[in-house]
This record gives sequence, structure tokens and C-alpha cells, in this order.
Amino acid sequence: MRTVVVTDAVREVDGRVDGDRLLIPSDALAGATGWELKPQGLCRGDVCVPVGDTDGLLVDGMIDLASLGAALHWPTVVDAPEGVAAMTEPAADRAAVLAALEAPDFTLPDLDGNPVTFSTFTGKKKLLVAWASW
Amino acid sequence: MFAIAVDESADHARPWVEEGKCTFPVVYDRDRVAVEALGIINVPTVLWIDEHNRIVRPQDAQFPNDNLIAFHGRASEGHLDALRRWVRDGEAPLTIDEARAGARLPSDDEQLARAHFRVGVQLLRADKREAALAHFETAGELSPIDWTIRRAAIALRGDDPFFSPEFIEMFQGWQEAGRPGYNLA
Repeated sequence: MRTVVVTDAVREVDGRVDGDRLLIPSDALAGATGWELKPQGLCRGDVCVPVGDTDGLLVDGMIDLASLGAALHWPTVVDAPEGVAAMTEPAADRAAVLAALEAPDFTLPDLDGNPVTFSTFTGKKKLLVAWASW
Repeated sequence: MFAIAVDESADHARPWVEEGKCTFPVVYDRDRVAVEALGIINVPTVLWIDEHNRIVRPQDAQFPNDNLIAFHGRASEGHLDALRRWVRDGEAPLTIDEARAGARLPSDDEQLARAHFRVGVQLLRADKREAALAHFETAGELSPIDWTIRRAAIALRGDDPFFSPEFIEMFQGWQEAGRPGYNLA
């Protein structure tokens, strides 16, 4: 079924519901989550998280998203009947970056849908304002 | 200025951007990607970020004027004066230790609440309202003081973000918790 996985981006993949588990094909892992299964563990960019038992991630050869979140220690919500899952960074990792006073980079659409990357403005002082219509 | 609208669509943000005749970049963050990365739990929240992308003044609620001061109690003048001194004279608003101590850091429950919120908005976009509202409710229980989740969800489900009973209850709880998000003096 159409499965939506949200991490730092929203990605869609063909997945399968197995009871309360949501499974995605192992060859779709990187495309769906940004994480890759390598000999040294689960890797994303320069970061690798060792995984003791990679078989524990698999059900019938597919990746179980809840087990993936547990292996990464990423807070994870799986709504299997609806085919939607979301994973967020562990608080300790996010806190380390914020306490180091490093501004994270991000890319978001402007009101015309054009992507804007924050680091384009390196070299300028920025007053970053988060606001909302509500 | 770099503005992030914590809104579901460009059309939600557009009337304000047009009325303000904004000449600076305005983006919108419907999945709370930058909001999470920056540790933002309220609006309006400002961060001062220098030429080297270092945060010199961490997340804090500040206002462009005093129009709603009866509601939030924060005068704009001191912040705006300090901002001018930083831009014109390079005067740092805080020492590095003060900035570090002032940074608001998330908890795992708050991060899990963001995951529930993201599942909820996906479901709402797919017209699965009942399932979406269940995730919004769990998110609100996990992170009751996060306005970008809880008050936003009140608006997303079509209730009044100013006068609905849930917002009034949320506002009282937020005040009793010491107004989280209003981090610096």
C-alpha cells in the first residue's frame, strides 16, 4: 500500500501492513527514510548507528519501521492501518546541536513554492522570525 | 530578516506577507522541519544568527510592537534597541555562556509529540480527519505547552485558536508552567 514516511522530509514508498506493523522493502529504506543499512550499522550521511541484530529489523525480508526507530533510538510513531509513519531526532542529539549554538541548515518552500536554503545567507546577520497565521 | 510561517499552506501566510509588503525571504514550514531543528515551541519566536551561522541569541518570544502587550506582557522596545546595536555596532546581546544557558532544549516526549503531529497532518491532508485528530490529541498530551503543535492543531481542525475551550485551558497551563518559550529576559 501507499506508505508515507516523514523524517526530515516527506517520502512515499510501497509498503505493507502486517497487523500493527508497517513494513517497507529493504531496498527502499534509503529512499523512504534517508537511512541505509551498511555493515557498520544504519547510516545517514556521516553518521552511523551500530545495530546489534539487523535481522531484528526485518519481517519477511522487509524493514519494520517501529523496529527501525527503536534501533536508532529515534522517537517514532507508526499508524499502520493508515500507512503513515513519522520519526524524529532523539532529544539529546537535537539538544547537543542547540546547546552548541550552531544554527541548523534547512530548505523550505517560499510562498511561490521555490525552495529556499537558509545557508544561502551565510555572511549576513539574520533575524530569524517564526510566526503563524493562527 | 528571514521569516518562517508555521502554517499549513502558502495561502494561510500570504495575506500577512502581502499586507506587510515583505522584502525579505518568507518560507513556510508545514511539517515543522525547521521548527524542530531550531527547537521552536511558540510564535512569534526569534533567533539572532550571525554571519558564521552561530546562534548569538537563542529561541525567544519577541514582538515587533506592543499591540498585544496585554496578552503577552512583553515590551518590544528593549529587544529592538538591542537588535539595532547588534546590527549597527556588532554589540553581542549575550555572552556565549548566557546564550548557551538560554537555549531551550527539547525532551524526548516533545520530539515524540512532533512525530504524532506529522502523522496527524499527513492524515488530515488525506481527508482522514478522525485518525488525524487522535494523533493531534496524543501530541498535545505529550507536549501540552507547544503552540506550534497544540494551538496549530486547534486551527487545523477548524476550531477557534483564540476562544476555543482547549486554547483557554492550554493558555492557563502554559502560564502555570512559567510561560515556556519566553526564555530570555
